[in-house]
Amino acid sequence: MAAEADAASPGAVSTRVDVAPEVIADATSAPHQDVADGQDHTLDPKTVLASRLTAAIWVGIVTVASLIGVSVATFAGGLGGGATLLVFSGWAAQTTLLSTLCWVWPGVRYRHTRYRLDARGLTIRRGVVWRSVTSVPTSRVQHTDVVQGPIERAFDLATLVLHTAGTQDASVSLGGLPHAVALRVRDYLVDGGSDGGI
Amino acid sequence: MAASDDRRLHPLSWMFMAAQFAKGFIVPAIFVVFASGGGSSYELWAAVLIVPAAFGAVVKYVVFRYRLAADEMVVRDGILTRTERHIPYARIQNIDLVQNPLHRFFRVALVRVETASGSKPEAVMRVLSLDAVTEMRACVFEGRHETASAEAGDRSDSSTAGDVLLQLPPREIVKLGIVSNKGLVVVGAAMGLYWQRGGWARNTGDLIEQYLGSAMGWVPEVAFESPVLTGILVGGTVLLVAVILLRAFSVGWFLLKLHGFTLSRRGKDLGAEYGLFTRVTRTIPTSRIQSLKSTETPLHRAFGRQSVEMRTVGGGATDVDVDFGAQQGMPKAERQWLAPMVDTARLPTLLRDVDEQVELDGLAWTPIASRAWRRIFRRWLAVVAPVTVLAGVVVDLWALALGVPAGLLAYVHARLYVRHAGYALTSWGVLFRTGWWTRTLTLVHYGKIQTVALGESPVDRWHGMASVRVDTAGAEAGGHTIAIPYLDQAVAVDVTRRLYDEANSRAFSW
Repeated sequence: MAAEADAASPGAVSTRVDVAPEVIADATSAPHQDVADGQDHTLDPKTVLASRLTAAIWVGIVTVASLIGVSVATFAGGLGGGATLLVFSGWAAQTTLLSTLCWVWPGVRYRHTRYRLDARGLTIRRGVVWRSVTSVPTSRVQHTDVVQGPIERAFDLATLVLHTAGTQDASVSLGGLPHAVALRVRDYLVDGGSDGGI
Repeated sequence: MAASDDRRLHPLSWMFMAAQFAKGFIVPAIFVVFASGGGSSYELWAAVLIVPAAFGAVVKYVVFRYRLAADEMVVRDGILTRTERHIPYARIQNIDLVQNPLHRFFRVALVRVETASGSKPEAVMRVLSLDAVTEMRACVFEGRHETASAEAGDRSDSSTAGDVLLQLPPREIVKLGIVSNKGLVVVGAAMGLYWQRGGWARNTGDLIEQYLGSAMGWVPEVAFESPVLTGILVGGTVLLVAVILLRAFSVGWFLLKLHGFTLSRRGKDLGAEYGLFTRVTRTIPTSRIQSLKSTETPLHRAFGRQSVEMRTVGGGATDVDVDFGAQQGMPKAERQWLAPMVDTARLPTLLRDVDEQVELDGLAWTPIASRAWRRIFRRWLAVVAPVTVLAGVVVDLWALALGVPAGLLAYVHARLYVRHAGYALTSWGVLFRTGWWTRTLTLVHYGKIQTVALGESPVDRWHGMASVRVDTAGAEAGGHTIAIPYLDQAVAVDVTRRLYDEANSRAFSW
């Protein structure tokens, strides 16, 4: 699942396994109850742009690679004018399709993603075609990661990864949170879970 | 007071370590030699490799020490990197034994010392004499009295026999062999070997001809008039013989593996003992059980029996385990028999004996959405129709007629599936059952629920339905889990909320 890929991404800069004393002090000086309001929240709107950028990089790589492939095949294969035109229009169509998708999809996905934090835990609602609502009770959070990739860092976004003892949901990740919010949610979940047995 | 001087492994340990090595390498090598018809240099390689293995075993024997201190076991191991591990008695969850005939001949056993942390045993001793095991057990459980913690007190009687919950006489094990497909394993191995020897290419054709010829001799004269009838008779006979052989292998396999299966309970732990040649003695703390699954095939029903398995996950943090360095991730999940065969009528009692909270009698089952049968029926038709049409075009137009029974079967299946599928939310946990031919029931304690998820596919949305999935530790990939499909959307939302609340009100502990 995507969650695992995110968790293993090399952009991990901040990893937290357990409650460190100085963080507890942090948490008491700046209460984080405000994030656990039991309301549905959207992600940070900046995540749309960030996802578009990430997708654009991939589309760019695919486009350049396929252009090289198409060119080599055309010239080495000595294709005629008609065939060349067909091949290159195919490449153009692919590029157009991918670009459109990479522009539109992040917005659609953003509109279909919500999260809610309350005393019980974190609930994530996502999916455009296949939709899911995943609920992670606070007491089942084994440890948490807050991960920032290079692009996320540029936008001050972060991905929150919750690790549970489960199998399919061994790690549940929520990308596109403002970095500060991700930290507050993490603190809330870890504090709340400390009596439940970490 | 506990003995505090150093102890070593049994003097014959090197032999068992070498035997272990042989099992992992030499036996396959011998098979290869045998299979390739001999004359290769595998024997030589095997001989070359066994020398360092035996040497390593002797070194291991020399360096490995353990000490039974007042309140902890100290294990020392290693030549270049020496490790000294302290295992407090209070943390030891179980001391498991494995004994194969060789072990039993020399009155020794392979010993695994397990604690609540880590996926691997804290210490594996290959091998200790039975006297040493008795001494170790005495020390560990005596130490437990001294620590006098509530938890330890519960388990202090671990050294005694405990209450027997289930015992399988050979008759029951034969039944288990008959209902299961384990014979395929034996046949698979035999086929592999046969194929390795190049038997297929040379002999198979001749053999089939020969056997078919003799089989024909058994067929009454009339049969020869119709080749179709002959084919059916011969085919049927071959199939019958194959099935009987498979079941016979299966019976043999289980008689070896599960001979004298005994399930007992001591305090909070389950004890299981089984095996004819290799005798296994295991202790399973009930808190490690993540889910229970009972299976009932039509043959089970004929005998009035069920097979119950449990998924267990060893205790321990999921964090990096300092003791084992790179070890990371989930503790190892295991599938184990709770009861290979149990009288269906006795099942509720057995489960109650295992776990006081579990109550199977008088469950209020809720069915899935009854209109789901149309979805199942249509999906089957979507498979059946193209196949039938293809057969009609390619083979014969008459093949189209096969579509009628196939469609009928799809209809019956859809109806029966919906009738037999259901879930129950009790005061202690959630149950989910499916299947009308092979019936499977999974039960999970609310306390073992990790996450709850509601899923909605495009088709679900079209029908106003949704599914509910519960994730547990050590769930089997592709196995039967609590994943309830075809619920009315409102019902699914309600079930999800209830499961989430129930999971929330209980702490999870390994």
